[in-house]
Amino acid sequence: MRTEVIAFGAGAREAALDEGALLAKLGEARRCLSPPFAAERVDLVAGVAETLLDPRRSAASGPVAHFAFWTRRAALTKLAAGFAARVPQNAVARPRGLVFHLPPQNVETVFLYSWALSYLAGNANIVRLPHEISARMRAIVDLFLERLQAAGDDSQLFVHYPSQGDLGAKISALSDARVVWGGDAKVALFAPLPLRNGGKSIWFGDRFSFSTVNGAALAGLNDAALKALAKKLDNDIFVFDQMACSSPHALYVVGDPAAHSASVKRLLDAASLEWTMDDPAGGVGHAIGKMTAAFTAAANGRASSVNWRDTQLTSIVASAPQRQDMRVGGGFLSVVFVPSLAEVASFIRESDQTITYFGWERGEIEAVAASHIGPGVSRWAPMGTALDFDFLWDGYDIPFELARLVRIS
Amino acid sequence: MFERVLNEPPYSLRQAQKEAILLEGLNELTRFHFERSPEYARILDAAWGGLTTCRDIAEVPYLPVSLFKELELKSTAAPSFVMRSSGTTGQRTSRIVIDNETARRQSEALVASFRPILGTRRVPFLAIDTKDVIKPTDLTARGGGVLGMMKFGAKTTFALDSQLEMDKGAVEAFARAYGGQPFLIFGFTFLVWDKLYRTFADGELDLSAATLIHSGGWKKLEAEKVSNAEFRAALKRRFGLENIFNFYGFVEQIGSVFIEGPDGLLYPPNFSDVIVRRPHSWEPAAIGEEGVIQVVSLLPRSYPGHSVLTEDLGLVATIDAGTGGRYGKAIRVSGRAPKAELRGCSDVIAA
Repeated sequence: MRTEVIAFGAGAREAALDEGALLAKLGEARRCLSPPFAAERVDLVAGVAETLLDPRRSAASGPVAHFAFWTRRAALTKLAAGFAARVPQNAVARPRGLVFHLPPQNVETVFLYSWALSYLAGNANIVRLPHEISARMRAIVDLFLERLQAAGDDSQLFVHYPSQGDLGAKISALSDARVVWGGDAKVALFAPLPLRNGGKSIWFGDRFSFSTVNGAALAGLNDAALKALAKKLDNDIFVFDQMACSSPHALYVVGDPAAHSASVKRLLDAASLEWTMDDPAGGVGHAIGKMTAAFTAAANGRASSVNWRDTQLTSIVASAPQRQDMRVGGGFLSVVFVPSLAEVASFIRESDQTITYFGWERGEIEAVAASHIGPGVSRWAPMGTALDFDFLWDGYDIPFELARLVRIS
Repeated sequence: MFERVLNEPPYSLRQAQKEAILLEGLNELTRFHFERSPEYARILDAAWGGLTTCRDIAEVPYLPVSLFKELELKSTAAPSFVMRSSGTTGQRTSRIVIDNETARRQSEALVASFRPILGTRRVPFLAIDTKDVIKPTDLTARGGGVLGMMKFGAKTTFALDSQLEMDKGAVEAFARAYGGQPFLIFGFTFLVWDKLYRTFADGELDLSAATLIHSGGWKKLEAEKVSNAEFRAALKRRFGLENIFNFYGFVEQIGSVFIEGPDGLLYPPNFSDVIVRRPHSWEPAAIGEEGVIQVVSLLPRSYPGHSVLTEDLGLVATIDAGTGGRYGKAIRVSGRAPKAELRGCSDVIAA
């Protein structure tokens, strides 16, 4: 079976490509590698960041701004230096070869990081984009494609093809590494497809994230500080409608309800004021959905109180200090009062990813992070940075995973 | 009180009178369910500040209808059957627990609501549905509707076979036997359009003596760009059918039907009412302002559904206008509240 492929080209062009032609291109691309953090590649990525951050352009916002900030020249220099420092003595890092990226359909900036890190590591890449990508994302792909074209580099492919056929298997068979984003079902779909010479697979499956605050520290905030914190919490929740892997769904408050309920409510009320949904028209049905989820928790005895009226951020207060797994999204939080930070760590499960925190000393967070030995949780981050991507993600050092080490003795 | 209300013509009460009567009954029902349904009691405690006596019907606690998809709430020790919403394959359906008393109240309420258009004599009944839709214990909303309307008819004929295809012979035989005298047709709006209207040619079948009662929403017809006015005009042209009444109702409030008045507006009968609410703040909306429809009703005793927030959008068009002797609120239903597709990391694989 042969599949029709759409190749994304510079200048918003899309070209139909025969499957055989694509596979031949991949073979060629794999011969165009470069050492990790080669100057031309760093220049190219930093050049796009400069364009995105150019004050004459309409301001990049949210996730795009973060990507631009994260790939500006100074940040890349630091990333390259860190990478070099992590290469063991008597070894040299080299790219793996051809890397196959399957980014998630919805959290669309993810593919930029996935691709950029692999590109910087020196690899040839093929990225399967969703058919529908926003104009904003298409414009960014264009910025990269224009520069790649100018540099005569056709080792970087951005394509779309229908998922039903076996092209995913054929590309996998030519690839040295594969990066799958998008949940357990998608991971399971690709798991049986072998890579070239048993290559490297990186999985980003379904993840759950939550947040923890020190109740006493929260109660001690003045109005301005509380408002600033609410803005951070709101940012963590509202980007991607609270449905990114690192968006928090529960808030564990270390303290007791009698002493700290009022300040938690102040925080949530202030965060609600900042809220806007990506799809405001769809908000009405979703608001009723959140009400239903909250009332269900109350009926089942899991929630002792429900805050649902006149707020964009529906919340329940759990009736017992237990783990809460409700993942409603679109502005829904389960608040749980717990006696200690250690108790929060005891709730950690294998599928947990990010714990955002407020009101703790760095040492306290380091100690609690170290106390958890088993799988689960790959990131502790200050409240307000839940969506800030990093090269260390889900427990992987991504550029390192996409490079190989050559030992020289 | 409920009995007293039922003995009056269905839209006789002025809004102020009606609210006073409903308030007393709704407060009583809130207490009744609070004492019998532990789930309901916990919801009141967690989300509504506990059991209180309200001073206005707009203050009466309500439940979102989709809660009945999550939970089987009941306030009766003797359930006799469970009603289900008709949800399409894969959708979760509501489960509404009915006991004998609530079934009786629903049936009496339907009789009272339809009496003005159907009279007291039972007339031959043509159901635009299949007999398979009626099941003894586990009824869907469609089955419940047909079963409810059978009380008004006699000599029931089902127009559709079990594959939901039109049994043309049965319908023609029905029209030959009863077509000269008043008779009743009932069916879901889309089935009336897709099966009855589309099977026959103009003038092929005479239904001019019939009263058609239909319900089930306009979503599918809107998709085909058929409005209420076009629907009426088309049925008149094809069958000579003019006596047509749409009504608004749903499985979580079976027995409570808002029938179309001469002005095309929908009227809640004396024992029920509508409050339109602003999304998010959930404050009552002004007259003419679109919002989410809440329905209150004195019927449900076997399940805590005397006050529910629907997922339908609509508005209160008039209050106590007196059109055709109808008082109280008259509403317009505009459709289902749109639901956002939330973005997320977890993919739809086929994308």
